[in-house]
Amino acid sequence: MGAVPGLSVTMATALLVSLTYTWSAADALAMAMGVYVVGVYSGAVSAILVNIPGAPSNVVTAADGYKLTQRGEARKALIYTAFYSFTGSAFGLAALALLARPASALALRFQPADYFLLAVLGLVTAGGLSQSGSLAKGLTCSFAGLFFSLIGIDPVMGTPRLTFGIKALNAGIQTVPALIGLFGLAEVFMLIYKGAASSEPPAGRQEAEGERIDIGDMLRHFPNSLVYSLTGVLVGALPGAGSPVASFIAYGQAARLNRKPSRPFGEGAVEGVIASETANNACIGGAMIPMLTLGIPGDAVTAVMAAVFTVHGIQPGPLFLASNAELFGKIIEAGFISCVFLLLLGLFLAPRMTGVLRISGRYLVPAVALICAAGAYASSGRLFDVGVMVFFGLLGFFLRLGGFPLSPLILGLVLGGMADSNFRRAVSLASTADNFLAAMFGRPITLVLLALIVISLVVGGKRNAGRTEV
Amino acid sequence: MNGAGGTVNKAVSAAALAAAAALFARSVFGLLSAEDAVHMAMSPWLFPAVISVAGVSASAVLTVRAFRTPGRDGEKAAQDDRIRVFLTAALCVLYIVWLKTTSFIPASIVFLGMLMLVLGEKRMKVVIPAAVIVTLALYALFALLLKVRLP
Repeated sequence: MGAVPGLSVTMATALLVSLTYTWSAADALAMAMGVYVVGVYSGAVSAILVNIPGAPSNVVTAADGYKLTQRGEARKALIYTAFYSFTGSAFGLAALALLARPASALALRFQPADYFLLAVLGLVTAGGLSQSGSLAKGLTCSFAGLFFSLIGIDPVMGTPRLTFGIKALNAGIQTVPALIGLFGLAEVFMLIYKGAASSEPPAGRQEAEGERIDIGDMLRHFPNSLVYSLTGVLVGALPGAGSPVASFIAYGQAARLNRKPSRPFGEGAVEGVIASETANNACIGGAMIPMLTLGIPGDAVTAVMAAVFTVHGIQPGPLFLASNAELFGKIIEAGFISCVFLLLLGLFLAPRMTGVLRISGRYLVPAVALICAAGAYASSGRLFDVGVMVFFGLLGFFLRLGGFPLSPLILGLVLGGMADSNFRRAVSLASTADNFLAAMFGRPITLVLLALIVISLVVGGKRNAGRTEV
Repeated sequence: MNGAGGTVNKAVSAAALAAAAALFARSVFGLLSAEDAVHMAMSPWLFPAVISVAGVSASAVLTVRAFRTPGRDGEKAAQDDRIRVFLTAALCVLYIVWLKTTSFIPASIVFLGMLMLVLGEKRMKVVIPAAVIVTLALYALFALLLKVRLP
């Protein structure tokens, strides 16, 4: 699905969550990992072949990848992308396997104020580093997500909050229908708005088969790919940053590491494609670290995966590894198996799959709309949630029209409950201390988190200052 | 799209500012209703009060910029496509009503068929079989294979 222009990996994961209600947690998470790993790679296929990035993290890939297609080197671009997406994904998963336990041990020292600040860090980072390039837009979307998370019965006091007398809202805004609306139905509206749903699919050049691939040349980039992988893991582990940021940073690194690229960057440099795809795939393992050990999603897809955990009654956090060691092992196993499938699909199927990109929007878009409705209903068995999905679909459509990022909104929705309860616990605990501020913010972990929040705001503000768009 | 973005920007920014301001007012009212400081610390309106301040700040900056900066003329959707978006949204709402009054299979066949017509597929000999096949395929996938409840 990720290879079809406009259908992102986040959307695919959100839609497929609804299929897993009756599955075991291990099977559901294995499927989500498979979609995540292969979906991130798949977004590069449409970026390379038809210059339409499957996801924001593939925007950089399109810059050089499509130029390679125009030069008749699509097969080379696709195969290099498959190999280095595999490398990045495997590196990220290895980092997850190695670092999750130390991170869990550290997370056990976290107190309510720290969890609250972690949520704030995630929201500020997601808002500041979003593709919109506007800190104010990102923060407004974070606020919107938090606002929607407040709706329903207050979990601490048990009283209705912001339900406006509508009984169906007492249960709150369910994450899955909202996700399906924001990433599924909104995409449907966007495709229709852009005319892609009522016209024939874009055509790319078809020389995806028949070129010779120089294995030695492909492997020559391996040492640099380790640098891009490390960047991907580090950026992914920062709550809220996500793979688009990693791919941009890695592209900049590639420009510094390759003094003599095969072609100038932006003109078909395979080094740029490698950097972007290695880093965005390495982000997968990195983004899973805060999600599994702290319950803080690293990006939009892991926010969707957090919903998979919730649906199956599992709480990610510091005790997740101790109480679900077997499940953690299966997640890692599923990730590595997905990497192998990614490689096989990328090497043997992707060069032949230009036909998939030619499904007419007239049939694809209605089918996706129907899947959205069925998925939203399946989440709770309430027609009300289909209405919620349509509302968020329209909201997502208008936000995207206005250039607002959706990731901060979804992170706000997912993190809102956790931020709320931890904030109130922290205030309650600190209110009994002699020095309120010292009790609330005086611990070393808290100070580090505060410093990171300030840095995120400054970096986000600087990016904002660099752009004139509102 | 930027052309529309100019107008949409203003509308979304102003709506966010209004929502944040309303939330702030409601939160302050809720906090002032608390009996004492201890109840205030655990009040359901404490967190909304904090985030509404942040929401008002961010959306106020955005609103001021949106109204001070002229909207750009960029890629704008064709009139037909804007009408299609409107009709699709209306069909989604109607689909919920149909689901409530009938069941998944008939409602979905009608929804899919009408959506294909809206998207420009005029050949009924394609629309009808496609709507029926896609509906039955999804029903088989969700209800029969995955045992997921459908209306």
